Amino acid sequence: MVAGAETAESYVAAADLERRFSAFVATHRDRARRVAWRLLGGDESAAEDVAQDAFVKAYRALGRFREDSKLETWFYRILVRQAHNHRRWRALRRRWSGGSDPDPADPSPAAPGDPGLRRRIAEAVERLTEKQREAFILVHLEGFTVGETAALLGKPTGTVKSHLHRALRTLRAELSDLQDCGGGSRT
Amino acid sequence: MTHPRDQRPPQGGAEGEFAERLAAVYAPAPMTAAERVAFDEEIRARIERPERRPVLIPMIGAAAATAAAALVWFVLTQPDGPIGSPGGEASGVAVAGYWEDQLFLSSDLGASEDRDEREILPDDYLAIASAFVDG
Repeated sequence: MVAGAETAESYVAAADLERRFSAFVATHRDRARRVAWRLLGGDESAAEDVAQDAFVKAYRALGRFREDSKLETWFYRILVRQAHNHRRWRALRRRWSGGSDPDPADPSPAAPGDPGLRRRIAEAVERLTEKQREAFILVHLEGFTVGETAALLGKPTGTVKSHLHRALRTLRAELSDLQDCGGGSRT
Repeated sequence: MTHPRDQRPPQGGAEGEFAERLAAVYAPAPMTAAERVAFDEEIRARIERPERRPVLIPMIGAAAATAAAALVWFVLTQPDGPIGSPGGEASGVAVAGYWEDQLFLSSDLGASEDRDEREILPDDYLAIASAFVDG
């Protein structure tokens, strides 16, 4: 009977984990894909691949986290790292194959808005240094706090603030014509 | 993830508007319902798949260990290697034994130091040394 009770408990625990995971995916799917998309310079298929990999890792680690807020921080840290590693592999592959960056197409042709402007922004963001780009995307485009971003990147908050300041200065200089236009709604 | 007041992104005014405009334009197309389903199915498929083992790391480790062992073997069996083996065919053990003999068993080591001293120091220094140090 004890073994039967244990089996029943393990079923309940497994079902609970499944329910938590489904809820977690439903809550974070769109944001995770968007964060990866922005970190990967608008590479849609790579963004999906990286986001899905991060979710699989989250599933395997779900039992270790009782609080979903902790799982969330951990999950985005994994996502940022996966995107980071993907960029490095991509750069390495390009170097090995002797190819240069492909002609930058519209990173999201199906998205609403001006594709030319989107391409210009993508190019300007890609020209930032790695750390400036990551800090800028996470804080200014994704709305993470400086403290959260520092935790995600494993850097002190002062360093993140410094990256943010430089990134914003560079982008405002490169895209100065956008500053006079009306603001859009945040995604 | 909460946004405590003091931790909010340092935005506001022109900077805030600029960042919001970028965020609005620089974003992927929203997922359709079908894409969401496909996305979730792919996650499920990956979970069901057996976990990939990182085969590259053990392979690199094994290659590094082999290279290190080969290097040690090469150095120890070199006829004119950096440790100056007594004979071309000597094994590593024999070379180590040779140097042990040289360091710990040779009675000529002190004599060679004396000889060096006599060659380097002037005579009057040696006289002073013999008077005050050697007694």
